[in-house]
Amino acid sequence: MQIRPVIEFRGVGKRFAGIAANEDISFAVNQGAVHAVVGENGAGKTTLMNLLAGLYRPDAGNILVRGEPVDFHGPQAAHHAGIGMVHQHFMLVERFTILQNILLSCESSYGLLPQLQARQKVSAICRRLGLTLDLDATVETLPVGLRQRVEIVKLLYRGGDILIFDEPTAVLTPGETADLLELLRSMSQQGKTILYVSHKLSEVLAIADTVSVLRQGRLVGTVGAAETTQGQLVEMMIGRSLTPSAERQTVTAGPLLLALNAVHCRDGRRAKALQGLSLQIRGGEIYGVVGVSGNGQQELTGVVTGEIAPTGGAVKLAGDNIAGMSMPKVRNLGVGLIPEDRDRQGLVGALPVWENMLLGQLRLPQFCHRGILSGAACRNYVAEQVRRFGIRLASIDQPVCSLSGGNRQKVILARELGRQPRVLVASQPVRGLDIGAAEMVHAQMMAAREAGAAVLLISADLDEVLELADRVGVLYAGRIVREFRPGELSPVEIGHYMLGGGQAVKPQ
Amino acid sequence: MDGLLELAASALRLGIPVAICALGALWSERSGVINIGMEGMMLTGAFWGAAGAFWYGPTAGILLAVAAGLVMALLHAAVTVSGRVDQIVSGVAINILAYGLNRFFGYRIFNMAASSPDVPGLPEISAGGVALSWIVPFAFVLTGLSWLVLTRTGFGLRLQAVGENPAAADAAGISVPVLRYAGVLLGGAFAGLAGAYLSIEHTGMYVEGMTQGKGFIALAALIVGNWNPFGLVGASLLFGLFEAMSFRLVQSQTLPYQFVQMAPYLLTLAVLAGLRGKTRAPAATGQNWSRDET
Amino acid sequence: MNGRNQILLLRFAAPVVSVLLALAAGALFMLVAGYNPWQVYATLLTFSLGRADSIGSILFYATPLLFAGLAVAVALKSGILNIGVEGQYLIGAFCGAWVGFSLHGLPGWLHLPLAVAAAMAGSMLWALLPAYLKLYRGVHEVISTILLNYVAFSLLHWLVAEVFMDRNQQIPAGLGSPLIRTPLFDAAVAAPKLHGLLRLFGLDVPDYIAVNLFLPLGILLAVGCWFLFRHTPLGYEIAATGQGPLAARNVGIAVNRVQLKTFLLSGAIGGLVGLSHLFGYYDSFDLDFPRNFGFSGIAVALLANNHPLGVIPSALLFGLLQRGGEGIQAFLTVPMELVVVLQGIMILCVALTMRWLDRLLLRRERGTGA
Repeated sequence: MQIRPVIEFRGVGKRFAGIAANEDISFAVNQGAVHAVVGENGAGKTTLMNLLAGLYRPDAGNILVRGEPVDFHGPQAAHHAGIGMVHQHFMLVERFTILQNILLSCESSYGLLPQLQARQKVSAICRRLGLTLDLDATVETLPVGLRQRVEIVKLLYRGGDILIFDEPTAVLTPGETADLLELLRSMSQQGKTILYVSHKLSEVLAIADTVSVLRQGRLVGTVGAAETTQGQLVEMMIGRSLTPSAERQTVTAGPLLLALNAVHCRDGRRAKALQGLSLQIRGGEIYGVVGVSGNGQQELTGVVTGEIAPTGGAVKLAGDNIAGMSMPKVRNLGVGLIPEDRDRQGLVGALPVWENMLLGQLRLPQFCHRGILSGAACRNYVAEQVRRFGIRLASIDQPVCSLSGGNRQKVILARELGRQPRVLVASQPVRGLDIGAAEMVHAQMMAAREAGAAVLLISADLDEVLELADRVGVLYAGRIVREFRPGELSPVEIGHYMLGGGQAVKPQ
Repeated sequence: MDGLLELAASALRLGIPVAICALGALWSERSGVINIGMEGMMLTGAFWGAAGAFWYGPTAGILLAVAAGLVMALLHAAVTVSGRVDQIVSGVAINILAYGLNRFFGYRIFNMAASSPDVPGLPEISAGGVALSWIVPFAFVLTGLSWLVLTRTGFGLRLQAVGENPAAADAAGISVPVLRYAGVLLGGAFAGLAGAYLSIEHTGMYVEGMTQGKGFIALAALIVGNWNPFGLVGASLLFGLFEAMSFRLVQSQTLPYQFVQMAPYLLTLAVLAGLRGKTRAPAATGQNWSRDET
Repeated sequence: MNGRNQILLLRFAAPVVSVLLALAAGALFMLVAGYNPWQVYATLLTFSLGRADSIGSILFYATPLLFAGLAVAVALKSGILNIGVEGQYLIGAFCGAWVGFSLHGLPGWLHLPLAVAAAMAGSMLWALLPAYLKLYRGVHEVISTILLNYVAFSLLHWLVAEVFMDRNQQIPAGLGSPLIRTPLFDAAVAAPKLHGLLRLFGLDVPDYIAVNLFLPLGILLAVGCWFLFRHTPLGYEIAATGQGPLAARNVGIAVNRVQLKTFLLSGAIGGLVGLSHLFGYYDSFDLDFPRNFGFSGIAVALLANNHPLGVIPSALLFGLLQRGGEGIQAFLTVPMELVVVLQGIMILCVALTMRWLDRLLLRRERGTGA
């Protein structure tokens, strides 16, 4: 196969509200290559890919596809040029079937839909890739890995031969990740060009032929994957070498603070969600929970915070059963929460920073005398917290939604840790944060651990859990199916348990 | 037996405007736009339908009513889809506007704020001794067509996608605003038609407030019918049956007629309360969308 | 900070700009309908601001709108759109009337407060049903309150025409049938008029214009609501519940209870809406008791951007429009419903400008913030 650049970025730039998301980016991608684009969160990777996929138009520079300059007025124009993108958040309509989703994005007709032909064409594509999909299954019933397959089939159905993947493994288990990388490899051998956006460097080095590194919207460099190392890439990404993570203090395990005993509960659709889950966390301990999403993570958070009343079993906070108590009561007993969706579940975006920091605490005697708020006490406390947690802002009266992602998460941390909780539940605490902010969040969680709190860390990021946790539990089908200490199991073994493989081996 | 037939015909007559209006609301909500203004649009249709029929005859009246519904819907679409104003707020404004406009033009056209003179209707179809408006069978055709277009065509699939997940629709190259305008405009046209039926066919004149909340009942029928064309028409006809039966109750004088009057509203509320969580609105209904704000 | 002042300025300027926009849109409508907008607006303004009786009328018309605007605004703060103020105030007014015509011999300082309490309680009870349906049965308050408005109309019709109809009334000369109304109120329940006070300010309002005690009460209530939202924990909990219910729940705010409290508070305030007319102008509750204050209240609250103090000028503006409507009808034979059209346009313009301002501010804060 003749090697020629199929895509070329020439001095590409894009600004949002005056701030440069991409500036003067130039590199080329060869036909049939797997080209990785890496960088921190906010480095401009996704923006650049959105420019290529026609979602935005560049303010400066040119994009060349097969040697021709292009100016896409929308994703459809990019589709015509054979370019398609699998977004980080899947672009699927959950209540549609697989077939409807494919028809939606691939059929241009406004009239009657050619269902039969579409069915045959999809089957052919699946056969070529070795996939099996039930075309009449509703997407909302599918596991994440399968949804991603649907996205890939969509691209191929449209005849895409330049495929963009934005953080495709962020939501996958190690096993699913391996399968995906295998699939990508076989597609690239079939002549497809693949752009692979990620910040997981081990994957990048395993799959990519070339790597482009972005930092603060600019291209730092493009290197061959064979000629570089993870360390070099990190330095290019953050402009310095990674400081080794803070020395882990040995904390003598305190009293048993959180104990779940054979907890059962149902989810919003009244299906069984937790089915006899048991775990124990002592003070000064971080307990990590890993698992494929949808195996009871939300419900686990729910029963600990009082959001969900268990249908069976006991939830004990320092020995007292809190199962079935209301959220305000549980919170007053010392349970703090860093919620998964920080902008909807953790903050009220339109309200100022100071109100968010004191959300739910205004009735405490230090802020309120005889039912009337003391403005000075509130503001002094918030200003102090802003200093302690290093929150960057112009004013505490600023609406919280105008802060950056990292600073928003710090507001939540400052609020939750300010109450000195006995139990802290942290769900995906660093998702979407850049490395600096993530380090800070992790440092604060370690500080809470050293202060004697029991920390329940629920994360889809296996590396994060293995780095932080003292003990790890694998959540599958509403139960902890395996507990281990970091280092005891290999990622492949962990992945095995995450997919339920452990059930036969070690039922609990 | 004749009594039953007459009751059924009466249920049809009373339920059909609700059904047409609910079909319109279906198009709007399936595209992701709540339309509390259906009531006002229906009243606008009723008014201009009467005016059109008064000037040029019933067919012109119906066309004018549909056009009037479209104009109001265009306003709602512009304010919510392009202006991204809260959909319920805009709907409330549309209702106030419709009330004011109808009175205003009532003075200008008929020299009375609250009603029109008698207007001519379409010839009726009679079957088995009952006479019905042509709009009644046409409404059933519209129901079938709505189902077909919504579920079997590219247009319908796109419109549904915009109401379920606008970001995904956008990524598939679908223009979210265009489809939402289409949904809201279809809704307005249906509301206009429902209004024309009331003034031209049912009553033979326009009377202020003649919809008596049917636009809101239609929204309830949409919920009860789980956003499905056949379901919501069924719910609407059931409402028509309630109303028809309550008229009988008035005649039999078993209850003060004010209680009979409020019965359909109370029954609708009871059905809604009993449904809790059993039906599901399109996921993005009520949420304005823009690519830059997600 | 300069930027801060600018933002404050914008917040105040936005409602003014939107009113001007609405007037411009209204002018366009008048041109299409064949009127001279300049003449209409000039008449509207000179008639409503140039005469003492007009000023009195504006104050009188603004009083119910003040309460209605507050009732809507309070509920909206917690994320509830109480379209049912309409039905609630009518039920409330009837309850007040009941106390007004059935008790006799009480002193005014006791009788009027009793009637007010009855009105608030009745209206609050009427709000309890949609509150329950929303919080425990998942029925959206917009649908339930609208349906209940129709139920309220029928219920009142029954109460006035069948149950409490005054059958001993003297039929006025020239009228063949009795009026459909309740018995007459006890004289003690009449709301004290403000004419003496207004005279101190040099305003000689004719006696037939019934500006009364409920106007200062409404202003006081607006200040009270402002205090609630500015200086008490409950106020902030209401705002958090309205703007971000999920987050509010996660920080231990009992969201359902907060919404229940706010809905009932809104209902109680709604009970006051009709009283200034009922005890200031009417002598009984009849079938023609004025309607639509509840719907106007939505417009008033929106124009005030839900700010309790903003409700005061907003209600006055709507009072002015209504008085002006009478002027243009009398002097120019322009149907006064033009004013209702203007109100509708105004809601849309306000909502559009506010939305636009929010986007502008957010973009700017993103630009300058961290």
